[in-house]
Amino acid sequence: MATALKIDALEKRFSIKDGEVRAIDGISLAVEEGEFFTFLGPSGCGKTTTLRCIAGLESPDAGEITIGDQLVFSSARKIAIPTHKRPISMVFQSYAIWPHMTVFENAVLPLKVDSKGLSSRQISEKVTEVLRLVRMQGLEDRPATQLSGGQQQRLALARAILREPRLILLDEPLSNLDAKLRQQMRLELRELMEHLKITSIYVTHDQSEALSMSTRIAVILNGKIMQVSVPTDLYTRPVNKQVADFIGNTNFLEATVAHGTCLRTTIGSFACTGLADELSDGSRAVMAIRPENIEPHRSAPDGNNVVQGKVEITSFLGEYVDFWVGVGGAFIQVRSHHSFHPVKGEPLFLRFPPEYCFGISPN
Amino acid sequence: MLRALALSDARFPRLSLRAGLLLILFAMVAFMTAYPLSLVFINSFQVGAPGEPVRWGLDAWRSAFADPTIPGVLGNTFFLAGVRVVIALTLAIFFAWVVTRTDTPCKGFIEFSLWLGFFLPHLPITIGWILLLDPDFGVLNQFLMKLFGLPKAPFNIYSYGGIIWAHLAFGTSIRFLLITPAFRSMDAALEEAAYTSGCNNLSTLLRITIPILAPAIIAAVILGFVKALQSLEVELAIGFPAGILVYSTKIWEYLKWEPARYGPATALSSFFIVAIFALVLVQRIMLGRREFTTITGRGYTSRRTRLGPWRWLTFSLCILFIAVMIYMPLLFLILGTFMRIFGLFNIPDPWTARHWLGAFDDPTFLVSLRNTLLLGLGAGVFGSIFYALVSYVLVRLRFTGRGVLDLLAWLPWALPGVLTGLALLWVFLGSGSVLASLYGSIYLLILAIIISELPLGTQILKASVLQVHRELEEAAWASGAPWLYTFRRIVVPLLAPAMFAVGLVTFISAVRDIPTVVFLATFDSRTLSLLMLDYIAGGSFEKSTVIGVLVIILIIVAAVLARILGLRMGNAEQT
Repeated sequence: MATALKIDALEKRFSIKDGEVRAIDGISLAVEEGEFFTFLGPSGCGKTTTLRCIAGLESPDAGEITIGDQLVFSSARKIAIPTHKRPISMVFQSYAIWPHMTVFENAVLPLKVDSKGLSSRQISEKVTEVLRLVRMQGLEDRPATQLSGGQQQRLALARAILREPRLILLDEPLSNLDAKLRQQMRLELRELMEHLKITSIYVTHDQSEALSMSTRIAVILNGKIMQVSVPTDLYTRPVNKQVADFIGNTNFLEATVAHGTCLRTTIGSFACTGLADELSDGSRAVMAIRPENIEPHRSAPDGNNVVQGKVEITSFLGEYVDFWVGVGGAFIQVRSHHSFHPVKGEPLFLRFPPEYCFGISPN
Repeated sequence: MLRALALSDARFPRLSLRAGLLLILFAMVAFMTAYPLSLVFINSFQVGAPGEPVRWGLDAWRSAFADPTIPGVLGNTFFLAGVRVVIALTLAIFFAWVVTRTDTPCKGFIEFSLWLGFFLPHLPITIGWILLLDPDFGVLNQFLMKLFGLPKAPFNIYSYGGIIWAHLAFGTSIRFLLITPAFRSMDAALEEAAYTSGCNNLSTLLRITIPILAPAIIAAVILGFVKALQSLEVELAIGFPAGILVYSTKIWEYLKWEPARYGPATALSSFFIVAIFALVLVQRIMLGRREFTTITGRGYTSRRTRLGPWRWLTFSLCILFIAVMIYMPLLFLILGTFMRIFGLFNIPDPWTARHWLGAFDDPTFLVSLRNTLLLGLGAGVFGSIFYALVSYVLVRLRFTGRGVLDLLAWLPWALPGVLTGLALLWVFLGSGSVLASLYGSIYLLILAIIISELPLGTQILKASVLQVHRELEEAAWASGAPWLYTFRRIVVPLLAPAMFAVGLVTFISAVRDIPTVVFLATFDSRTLSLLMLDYIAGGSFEKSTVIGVLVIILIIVAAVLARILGLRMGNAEQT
């Protein structure tokens, strides 16, 4: 499969009052055609800056960017193709719908600039078809100022699709929508991109979006790529504590590797199924287990990996119940189905199934 | 936030073209601002007149400061400006507070009237005051003398007090317009915290509101003081007859000699340039690089202080001020156009429509009207386009020397109109025959006005460019549109309302201006305002009143149009 996007050793620095900030600190990655590839990270991590470098709206300080087989940026060879000549299109977080134009005029602009040999009737049909795809049919003549947030977002999508780019760049397009709409749009967007077979680069700080929509996710923290994996691997096998902490909730316990895949912690020894590659016998490690994977029992269960403690805090959240159990000196978060009713102060046994315990390096 | 810091590279058509266009714009602005200024300064050390061979020497400075009237002139200038600033500031703070933070009735009308007061031209309003307060025939004087049986007129407009009085409306208006946005955008929560800590209304105003607004107020003071230094018309009409000279009228006097005394005029100008720069430097240091037209973010709460029955008092005070300061002289000016002999009510048959009917037959009048309209339209159209370009460059592009361009664009604000006029005289008369042939033409006047309004125009348009979000342009680039296409189809249509408003403001300045063009116009290129000045100097008050009213009508029409377009002076709450 062909490579739609390749980034090599990208760097971008900003000067601020007391020195400089490395927004992008050496990022390299490759995206295959047809992928829905997500940059995931907290605010300020560099994901949007990277996206804008791909678009040509920011100029990196070092590195190379290749879209398809076209080298669009190279600091070494002093190449910097301007935005309008790159085979990309972009959906902005604010949608950037032009207020003085109608829906049709907004959508058709890429084709007005470059008609690709189509007659105006063909262009008009194309626009109508794409507007139908995003469920905006019939709204062609409506002034852009009279659109709701969701409609503006779909119009921005239609405009980006109409350019027929190699790469479509999406900068947190769902973050301004309300929760219900966001859930709905997530699925629609994914289906649409798959149907059209366009390679998508998606930027978000919302892990549910990233996990549910992507073929692969790159977790970016402090301008560096921490991990690139498919969603399931990212969730079950985070490569270090930062990634594990960022995706979902995790309990961390300081540990030492005992022998093989056994981790010795302050509250006991646990058998695990996975250890990060760099760990060996005797090294310092961190044992990680997600709250929803811990089994609470009221009477001592069989098997290993069992500890005993007392319920300190409980929190009912509808779909599930969160509670914190004090075990020795540790505070373990457990998540259960809402039918389990933990009582504050009650003694409880916790079983950590080995298949969900894993050891990662302590930084 | 980091993205904003980067303010990336614009998508100008490739590097060399972009550099070339930038350079041209830069050169134009420098030619319009720094070049005339430096010429004035350099030529104060040169003894020849503009157009004559160059001779260096200190004669100009010597004769300027040997003139015994100079200390008096300097003293008058600063004294009058200082007193006016203090009084106007106090009034402006009061009005700003009333309009933005109380529940006084008719706030809209009060604000509109003060806004109007900013635009009304000085000279016609002064004529109105003369009609009222002249010691010999002033209507108010006559009335009071009859009423109280006084032997002598109680008020004499031709005095220090008269000058201060005539300036009051404009001075208050301009400070009001500069201060109000800051008042508006102050978060009400700050005052509410004071109330919940036990402060009453007055205490809050003095302890919280005013100190927090101090930077805006100080900026308004210094800016206003600089503007106060530049006034010419009032001092000519009222001060001259009383022998009170300020530096602008002194320069005017020097240039009215036969032959004109360029040397001392230029030396005196240089002195004032230095003084003004010192002041403005102080202001910029105090405020950092904060702009005056700021975009107010939405999301603050604006609380109205409930004044209860006191609000009728504030209402009355405001209405009284507006009625007396703004509408009364206007009324009497209009009245004066119908008088056979200006100021004489006691003659038989004092009223006539002759002046109005005669005006439109008078060829001098028609020529001046044509000149005024040409000047207004020329400056309005070309000015707004030029300001839009400069504003776009200043906001969107990042290049070395952007700070310098920003400073240059701001320079004319610090230059009083008379100095701009004098500086342009040097540029055009002293720079060779091609430019010299432009002397006296309407094009020179248009250029002078465009220069003098550069700071205000770019200030307003910079805020408008900021409101055209960068992403709207980026979305066009990401859709395949090159820079020029984007500028044409996206940026310009969205800037159009603001450009139109700026064009109107420039039109108004052109119509009412006297100081900037007074040295540059000849007989044929006289505008209505200059014609009015000549009539007053020659004693034909009757004709001057008609012209004054016409100028005001032109200005009011343009001002109301601009307001309808949503232009609020001094801020960018253009939603």
